[in-house]
Amino acid sequence: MQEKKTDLLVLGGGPGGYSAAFRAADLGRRVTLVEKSSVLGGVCLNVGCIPSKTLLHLAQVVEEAEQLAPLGVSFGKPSFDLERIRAHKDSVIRTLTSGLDSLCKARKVERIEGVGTFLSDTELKVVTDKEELKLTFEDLIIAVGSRSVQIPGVPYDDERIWDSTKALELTHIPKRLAIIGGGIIGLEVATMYHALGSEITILEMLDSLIPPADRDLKQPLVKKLKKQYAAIYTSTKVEKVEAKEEGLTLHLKGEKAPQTIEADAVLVAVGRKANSDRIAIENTSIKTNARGWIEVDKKLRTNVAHVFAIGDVVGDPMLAHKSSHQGKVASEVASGHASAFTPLSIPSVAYTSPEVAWIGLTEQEAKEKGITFKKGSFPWMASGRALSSVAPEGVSKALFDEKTGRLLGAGICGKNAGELISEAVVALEMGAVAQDIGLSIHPHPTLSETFALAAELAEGTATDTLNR
Amino acid sequence: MAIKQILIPDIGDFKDVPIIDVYVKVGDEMAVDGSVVALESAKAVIDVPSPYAGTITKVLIKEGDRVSKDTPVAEIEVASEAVEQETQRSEKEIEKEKPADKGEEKEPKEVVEVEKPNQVVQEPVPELINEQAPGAVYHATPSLRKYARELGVDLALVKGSGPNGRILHEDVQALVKKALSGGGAASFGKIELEDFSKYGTIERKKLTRIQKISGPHLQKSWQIIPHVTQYDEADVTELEILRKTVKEEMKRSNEPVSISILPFIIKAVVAALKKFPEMNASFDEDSGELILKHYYHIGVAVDTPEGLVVPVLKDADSKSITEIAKELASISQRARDRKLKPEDLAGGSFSISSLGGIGGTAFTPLINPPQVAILGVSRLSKKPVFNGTEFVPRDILPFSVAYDHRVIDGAAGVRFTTYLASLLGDLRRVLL
Repeated sequence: MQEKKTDLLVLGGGPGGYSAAFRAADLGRRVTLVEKSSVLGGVCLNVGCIPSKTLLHLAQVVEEAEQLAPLGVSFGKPSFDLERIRAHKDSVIRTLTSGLDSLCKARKVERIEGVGTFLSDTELKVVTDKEELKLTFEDLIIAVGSRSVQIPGVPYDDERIWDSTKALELTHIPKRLAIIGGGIIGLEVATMYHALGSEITILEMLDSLIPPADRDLKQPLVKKLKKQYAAIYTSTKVEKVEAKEEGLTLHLKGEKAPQTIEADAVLVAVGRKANSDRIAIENTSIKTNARGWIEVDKKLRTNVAHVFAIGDVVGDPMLAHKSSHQGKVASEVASGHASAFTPLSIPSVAYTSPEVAWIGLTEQEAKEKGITFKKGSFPWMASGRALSSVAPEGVSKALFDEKTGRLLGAGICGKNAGELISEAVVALEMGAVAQDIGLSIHPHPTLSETFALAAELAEGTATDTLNR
Repeated sequence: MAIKQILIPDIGDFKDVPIIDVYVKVGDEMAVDGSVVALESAKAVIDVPSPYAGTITKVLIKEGDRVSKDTPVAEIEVASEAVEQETQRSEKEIEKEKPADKGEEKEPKEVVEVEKPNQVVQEPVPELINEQAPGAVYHATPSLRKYARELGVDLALVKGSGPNGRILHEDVQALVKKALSGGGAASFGKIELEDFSKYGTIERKKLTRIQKISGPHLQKSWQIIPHVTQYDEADVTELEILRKTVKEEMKRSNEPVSISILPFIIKAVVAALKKFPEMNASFDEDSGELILKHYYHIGVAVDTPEGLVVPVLKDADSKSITEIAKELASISQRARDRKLKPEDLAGGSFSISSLGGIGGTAFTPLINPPQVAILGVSRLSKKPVFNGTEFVPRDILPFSVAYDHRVIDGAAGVRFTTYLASLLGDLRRVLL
């Protein structure tokens, strides 16, 4: 095995890994990036966020065109050329990954395409196409991400059983698509395939869709999905999936669910599992918790001082924007800077139709923690811009600490909620009180002003609706 | 269960450093990385963490002991699994830290250009995170939290002055400035006291109000201004003859005051300051400029029962020697009677400390900032001076001038004292 000494070694080239590598290079480190795939960007860029958003954009245009028909503008029934759609999706991915390749070159980050596993706290074995390497390092950042969780009773070798990666391959449009898991991933795939013509059934084990979000926040979405989809069964467990030639039979257990349903494809989207078990971590003294998440401190250091871990592999929330921020912090700390990962909030977004986005404390969490708050909630039915955009399904809400007056959390459900929520993130990090938001003049008519109106409602100064 | 020794780890190039604190005692439960003792190195106080979890069974050192790498500090009873795991870990760490020990055949570690502090020394104090919860009592923006971490400021100690108690960059700066200048003594450390009563009887006496006020001012002068003191002496035999004549005349005309040598010195000093204006100045550090003063307000140190005060004789250049004598008598009396007004103490451009009435052959006066120089006058005495053919008795006045070396160089300093000595030697030169 050829030995090689490196300075700062990054294991994994997803959004966290490449951010860490690039930041470290900018700080003057000599960086080596080990990634098993020939392309950078990881799940997010190749088989996650980016392809799903590309397809969801098509779904959105299809849906909006349909909504216009009763209003007097018709385009006719859409047709789908899957080959060209796939080509478009792939070209988006290619544009972005080749951009990363050139950034990597420009920063003189050394790339090794291969699978990295630990030999000890100080050595990493990397197996490439051609050779086996033994790498030593001054600092190492683990950014190996996560993968879909599998549940028992499902014949995974049947090609009609999908994970999110398979769903985004868009091989065909199944007539009936059953989705196990009513979280963000499940609902985004549902949104996509519904627009393409599939009949959707959602099966969620917990008692509501997108469990972490407040009920009143997701209400506009849930209400709409109940109309659009064949069925939504919450508090329902899938006990078994039976593969027959003519279709898949799902055996269910739940109060309101039938015993079985039939489907032509089944997506399993019940969560993600850290890839810490794929790097021979047992050869090190790096600690993981019961869920396999690598334990790190606020500086993202593991219990081994020169090893850091970031992103999905350190646990929830498993989101690209968390990973990339953590990547930068880890590189800064490893390079002797006084950095730490201390966000007040990591925003969550479901790119459904309407979108659901939230930050900071949810109402549920605030109540559990015994934090008293003032709440402002503005229904989009009262927004001129929402109505003129044919997007009346929505709500913007904001919670303020009763004592300090500061924003505790916010949620927006509606068209472009994922874009609109950023203002709330800044307000939260800047320690804004309701007046700071309400007295900042928002343009009218916009969807963004609904957040300011929610703040005014909390303050009792709103005029566009009654202050309750 | 097994007993393990906790050793002083390799924390850089040092030995025989003192233990300044022992955190543990027998029976204490330790967690991994819990602090055992604190060491004082040249640069920082370093906490030594325990590599094991368990119960302390023996403490092998005490405060003040000097230790080096691998000195045992305590014994700890550890659960058996933990021992194995932790030993493994520490062995690996040692391996990493000492690449040379791996054997001769392996080449030494490649030198990495990035400057990176030693991994253990990197964290001598708990690392600051400055995290906060949404809606927390104090609030700081992300950039400020980063700024505070870089300066090592714990935001819990900062009072926010922004809207809604938000901590501003200025608040952090103010705290740092205060810590750096903080009441003088506090920031430079205090002088450690001990129990003196074990050596004999003692009593405690409060500082006077003036001492309390002047102390920090003097300390600041001493710490901030690089002082140079130039010593010289003047032959004031002729001056003394003149002074005694004037004194007689004043006595005959029933003037209520006597005349000392000080008014003559003040007159000579004013003339010297006119020739060397940089001595009658202040230093603006921010702009790097010297502020020359076209007025001659001479501060005169006066000893009072309460302590030292420095009332200011205004416009000394436009006053006669007898006027100066009268005014000096008046302000000195007011100083002793504690009747000085703030304006009597303000505006000095140069100071004189005359201790000659009491004694002394020379001393180093402290500059009275924001002035840049001060004259110290010692005791006049008859000395034999060789005039070329014989020794003759002359009145010799020793004096010293301390000046701010940032703005006055040594040559200028000695030119000033030489010129002042020549003026005092022949006061007629003042007219030139």
